[in-house]
Amino acid sequence: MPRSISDLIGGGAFLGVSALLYAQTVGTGFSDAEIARDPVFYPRLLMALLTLVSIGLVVRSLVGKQERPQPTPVWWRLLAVVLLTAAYFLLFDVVGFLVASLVAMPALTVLLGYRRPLVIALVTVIFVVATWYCFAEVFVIRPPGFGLDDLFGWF
Amino acid sequence: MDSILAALQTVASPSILFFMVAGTAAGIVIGAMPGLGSVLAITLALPLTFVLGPEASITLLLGLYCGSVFGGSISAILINTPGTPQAAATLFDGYPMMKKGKGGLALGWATTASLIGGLVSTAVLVLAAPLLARLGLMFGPVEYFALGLFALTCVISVANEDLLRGGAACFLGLLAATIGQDPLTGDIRLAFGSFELAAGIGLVPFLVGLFALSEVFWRVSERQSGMPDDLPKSAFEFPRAVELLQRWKVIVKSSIIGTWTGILPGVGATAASMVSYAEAKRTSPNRDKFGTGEPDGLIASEAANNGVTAGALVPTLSLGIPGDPITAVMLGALVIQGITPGPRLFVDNGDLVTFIFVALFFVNIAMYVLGAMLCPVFSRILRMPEPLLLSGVLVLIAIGTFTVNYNPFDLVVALAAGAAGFFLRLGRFPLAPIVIGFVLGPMIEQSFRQGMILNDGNVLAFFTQPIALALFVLTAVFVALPILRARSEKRARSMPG
Repeated sequence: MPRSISDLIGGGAFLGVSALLYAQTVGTGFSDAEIARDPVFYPRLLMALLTLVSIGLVVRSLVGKQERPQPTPVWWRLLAVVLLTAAYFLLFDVVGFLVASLVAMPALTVLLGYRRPLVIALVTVIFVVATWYCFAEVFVIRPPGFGLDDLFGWF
Repeated sequence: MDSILAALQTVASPSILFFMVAGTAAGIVIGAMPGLGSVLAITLALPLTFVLGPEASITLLLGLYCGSVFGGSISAILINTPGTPQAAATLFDGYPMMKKGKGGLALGWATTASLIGGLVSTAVLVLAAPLLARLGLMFGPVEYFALGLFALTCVISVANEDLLRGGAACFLGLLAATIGQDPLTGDIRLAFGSFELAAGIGLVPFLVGLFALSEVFWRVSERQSGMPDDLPKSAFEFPRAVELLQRWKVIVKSSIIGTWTGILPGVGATAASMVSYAEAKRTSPNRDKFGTGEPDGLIASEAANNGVTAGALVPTLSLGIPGDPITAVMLGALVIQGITPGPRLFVDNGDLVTFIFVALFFVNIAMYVLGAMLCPVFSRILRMPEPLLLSGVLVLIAIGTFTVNYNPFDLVVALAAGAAGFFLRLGRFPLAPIVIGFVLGPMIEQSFRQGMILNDGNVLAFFTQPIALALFVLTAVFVALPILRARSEKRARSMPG
């Protein structure tokens, strides 16, 4: 992305963030307090500064010179990975760490273009089980969902 | 003396030794992987610090920090790609040595120089931090506010030399830190009516998302990926003692440059290694051979970047002001442990401070031993396919973030921070000012408002206090410098001829 475009988009986005946060400070009734004890005084000060800088970015995008553009991302792959990450995080709490990771890790590996099923399967199982063991047994942090001890309890 | 013996005893305990070795080894491996880096290493380990004691957490983080800074040199030497930006100057002479068939010796020089750089800076930390902390005891809210402001502006001024983008990133971090409960009155603000946001944005999901997850997104969005398949094998080779003695000047000078650069907030190890390389190139008796595989160039870069590690801890421990994003994350980890870095740390937790000094010393020794022992393994590790590596990092992000509070909302925060981090990288907005703003935000707000209350709302009274005034002047200088430099460069370019 050339600098002028990124300045314009960034400046616009930060202005939006400032406006959104400012709307949260309106009508709260805090402003009756002494200025230093007003909970929204300091955030508003920061919003004002962010707004100033954002305006500076927008102005620079209009008058400034171009910069070497960033390489264009592979958007489809990025979108697929973001969606996969979201699904993984969602599954994490529903089906637990082991199942979610045993599904997500190979899916992501294949999505990124690696196509050796045996290596993927081996690495996934060893890595996920070792991570579970480290957290659950070494650090005594129980990952969500059922664990290896539950699994072996069936036999 | 008693506290040193107690610290030695703690360091010698099996659990601390385990975390020292594990942290340093993991740091070296992560540092050697191009693009992963020190911040990612430390943010991934951050969730573990919740369940470990202060000593184990600190040892783990120090091991990751020193190991990852050194680890960057391995891929710089072996595959001409610095594992971390800090090792960028290492490849100028490291890779040519590799091509000449002296890869093992290059790794030996890198490891030895890193050890000496680390030890020199640890010595400076031991001497300078208590003195600085004593000065810090004279600080009130106004001085802390001025100090916080100074730390922020230093980061902005070095953020790609772009004040507008650095400033925007910094204000974003400061604003993110204000979401949730007001530290003075306890009122809820900027929470959008959300119960989860009322508690504020968690440090771990925010940092892990911003750095680690956005790094995953960034790397999958790039077309090129993967490591070369035909990596050369290199046996480790220690430099000879005679050669080491012949080059003592460049080693000591580079270590001091690195340490001093580390103490300055926001400058960082990359600048340190470049400055040190340039200085060595200017003064070394072998300067004509620089760039062709001259060990002096390699030594200058490596002694300096590892010298930064303890240097950056000087302001972090003594004043509670992180020198770079890595120490900002470490500062967060200490706060999680209920330890507040700053002048009071030296008074209230003197034993812990001694432990940090001793642990850092032994972490550097561990880095040297592990670096020498594991070298044959590195070329194998560097062959790991990137898709497997990235999916493994994603699993660690998820489990690390979730198990801090067992709260699914933390995963939402991490995902949002990851997406935001990706777009900020795409727009070339620096991430370091965001994290420093986020970590320092509560301290700056609290000291600013307390200063206002103490001075009856009169901000001008802030400038009547000598230490604060000196810090405000320094802040103004650091903000003005990049602007003046840019103007003078512009003028020089527009001059005919």
